[in-house]
Amino acid sequence: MPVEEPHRIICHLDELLAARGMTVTALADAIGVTNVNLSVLKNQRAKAIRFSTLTAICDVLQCQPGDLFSTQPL
Amino acid sequence: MNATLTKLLTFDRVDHWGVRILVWLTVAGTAFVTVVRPLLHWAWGNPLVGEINVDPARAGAPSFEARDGATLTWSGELWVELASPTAIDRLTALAPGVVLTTVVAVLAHLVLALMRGVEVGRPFSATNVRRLRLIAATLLGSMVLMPVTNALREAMYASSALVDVEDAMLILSPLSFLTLGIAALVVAALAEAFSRGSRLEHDVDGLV
Repeated sequence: MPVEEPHRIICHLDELLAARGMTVTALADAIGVTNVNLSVLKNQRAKAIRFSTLTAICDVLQCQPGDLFSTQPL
Repeated sequence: MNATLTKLLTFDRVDHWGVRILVWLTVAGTAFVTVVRPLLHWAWGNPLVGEINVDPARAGAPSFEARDGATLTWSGELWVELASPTAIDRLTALAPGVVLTTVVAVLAHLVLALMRGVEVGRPFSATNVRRLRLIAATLLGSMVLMPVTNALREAMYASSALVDVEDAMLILSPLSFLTLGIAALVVAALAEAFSRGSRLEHDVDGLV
């Protein structure tokens, strides 16, 4: 079995959506990703993100990748 | 590839059921012919009938001398009939059938379990990799067990039926070794491919 690799990336999608008064479903519809997949990202369960998904999220939320992610300090 | 051919080669629900029925019929047929029927003959007290490989240069039953209670017939091959075989004779004659039935049943169980994973859309799992490796190991095991049990059976027929055991000869078919060996290698290679697929699926899991 492949080993689960630990990481310290935090996704701030929840805060960004709240600040814009937008729901996960609305964002999912806008960027063409399933609600389930976007929830995975919002709930810190994603292990990777496609550049195309990142671009679409940044376009809709009018933000930069750095606003969406940060690294948790050790 | 045209649409009809593509549809024919695609596995749907009916194909899965068809394969299931075919596989279990094969297991049942193998078990009946190689184990149940000989056991019934034993229960009814029928004579034990089998074949001995002999030197083709000495073809023909009259040139071989039979022991008491044994009858030899020549019909292109030397057939032996033991009127009152011992329990050991019966069990030795049964051994190749038991091995074959066990191998076929194990392979059927593993193949069907593997196909269930494919049917639900998760073929690349660690369990399926393990199943494929077990199939390869079973094939390799049968490559050794089948000729050994066959050789024991022929030795039993020869020692029980022929005055001169030297008349019998053991013929090992390299083709069966080769076929089973190649099949085991192909399945082991497939297990490696599934192992890579399992890792890729794990990588994709959690990708947004």
